[in-house]
Amino acid sequence: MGKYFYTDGKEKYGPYSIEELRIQPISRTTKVWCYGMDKWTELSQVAELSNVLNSIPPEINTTPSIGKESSAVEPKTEAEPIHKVEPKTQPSKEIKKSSTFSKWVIAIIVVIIISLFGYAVIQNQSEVNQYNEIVANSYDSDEDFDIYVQKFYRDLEFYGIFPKKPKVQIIKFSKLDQLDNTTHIHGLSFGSGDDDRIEIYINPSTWKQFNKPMRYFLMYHELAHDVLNLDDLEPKSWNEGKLMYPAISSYENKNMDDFIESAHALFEEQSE
Amino acid sequence: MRIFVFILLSFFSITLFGQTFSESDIKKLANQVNEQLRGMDIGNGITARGCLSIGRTLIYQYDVPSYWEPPVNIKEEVIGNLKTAGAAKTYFLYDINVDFYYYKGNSLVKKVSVKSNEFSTYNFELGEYISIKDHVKSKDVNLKLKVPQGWEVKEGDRPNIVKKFTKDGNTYLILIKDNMTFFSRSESKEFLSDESFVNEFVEESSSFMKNLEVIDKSVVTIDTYPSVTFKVRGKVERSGITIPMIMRCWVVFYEDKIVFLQSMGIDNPEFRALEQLYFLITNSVIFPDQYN
Repeated sequence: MGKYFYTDGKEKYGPYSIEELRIQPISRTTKVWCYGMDKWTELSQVAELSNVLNSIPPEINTTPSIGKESSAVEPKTEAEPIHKVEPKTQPSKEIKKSSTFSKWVIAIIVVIIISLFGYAVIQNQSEVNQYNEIVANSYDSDEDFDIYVQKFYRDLEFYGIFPKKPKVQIIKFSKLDQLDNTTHIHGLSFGSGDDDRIEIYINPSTWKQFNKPMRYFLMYHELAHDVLNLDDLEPKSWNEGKLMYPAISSYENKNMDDFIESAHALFEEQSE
Repeated sequence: MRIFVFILLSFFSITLFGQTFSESDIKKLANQVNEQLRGMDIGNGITARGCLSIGRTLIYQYDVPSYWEPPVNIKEEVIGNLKTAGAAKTYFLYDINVDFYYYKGNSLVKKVSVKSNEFSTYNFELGEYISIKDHVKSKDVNLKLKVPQGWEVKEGDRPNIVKKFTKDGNTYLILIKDNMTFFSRSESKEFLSDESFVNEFVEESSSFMKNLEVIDKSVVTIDTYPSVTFKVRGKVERSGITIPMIMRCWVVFYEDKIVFLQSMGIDNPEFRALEQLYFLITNSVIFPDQYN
């Protein structure tokens, strides 16, 4: 009878006699070796150790999902058979942990969703309030804004663009300087996405400061939002000079030629 | 000085000739005047000897008494008298020079030479600027220009005529029309570089004339704005009467407007003389918005 070594996958232990091996923390799949064997072999495959094998209780059946987890951690159980002798308790703990974690995740997601919804509602209410404030601050004047609309549509037609000309046209001054939580706004369009309405509010203090080319830039910019549903360009240097550039106040050195050519560039782009 | 009253007689004869006055015509005129004038007692002891012509110069000859001394400013007096009599305008328009020779016996004691342009009765001086800003017909074009001294500024009767300057039936007017869209100066330059476009534009702008003859046309700049100038001749029917007309026009392509600076008159030497004045008016044009 030889003396056997066994391994937990990391270190080897022994040598032990068969009797000594019986009391070691081993399982049926623990690999053993003794002098004369070619390689490490599972205990259950060694005929001389059948008595030892019979003294080790068989493994307990588990559920498939947990089984997966068990098989996933099997190298550990093989190496640490002491943990393996408590197969009943370990999956239930993991299930509990997993269940608790899932609850937390779900709770966080729910909180986030509720927060986003709440934010959207508040935001929407804020926009409605702002719109109401703008309308409340608007007033009629002698300024002939219609001439800009007529020229805008005329120029679009020249470039082969024929948007719907709505019957509802509201273009007024509104004291945009008095809005809460805003920086200086030159003009706002509220008809974007609505083909049946042009609704633009112009800041009267801006209008007073702006020269002729800047007024054209502002009006065509807002009309492009409103009629063509175009968004502002990013306020990057490469967009400077374009009609949809949002920082129009930097255009104080532009002349009518600059306005005309930027409008034409936009219309050409739109007509393609 | 009554000595030049006889000039009126010769002046009337000129109206018998056509729109231009050749050297041959001047010679005929000299002969006619000579027949009327020779031996006439002008007064103050002065007698008309006769009239002849050399090239484009009419030469009036007088016999003066021995005590006669020419006034120091005789030339200015001669020109002034001719302007008062109305003959100076004709000499100027038909490019006729006039000499006056004064004899004592066979000796020429005084010679006065007046070139045709010295007879000009036109004042080519410009007065103050007027602006058409906010004019009901200006279509938002801000333009100012100088009015010739002595000319009257009137409102235009027709829809697109903003203002007009008039004097003695001559007119210079400002007419503004809408263009199809905006054009920047560089875009206008580009389409004006197309000669066929310019030709078509000139003909279309003059389409109210029949038997149109384009005398000249060119692309110019008026206060930094690309423009076309052209001169055309043709016939215009008014109230059943066909009149030969001539027109000098400057057309400025300004943003989304076309500004016509237009002078038109009967096709005669007076129009040609006034062209210089029309040029001066046009040259005074300023579009102030570009400098704001």
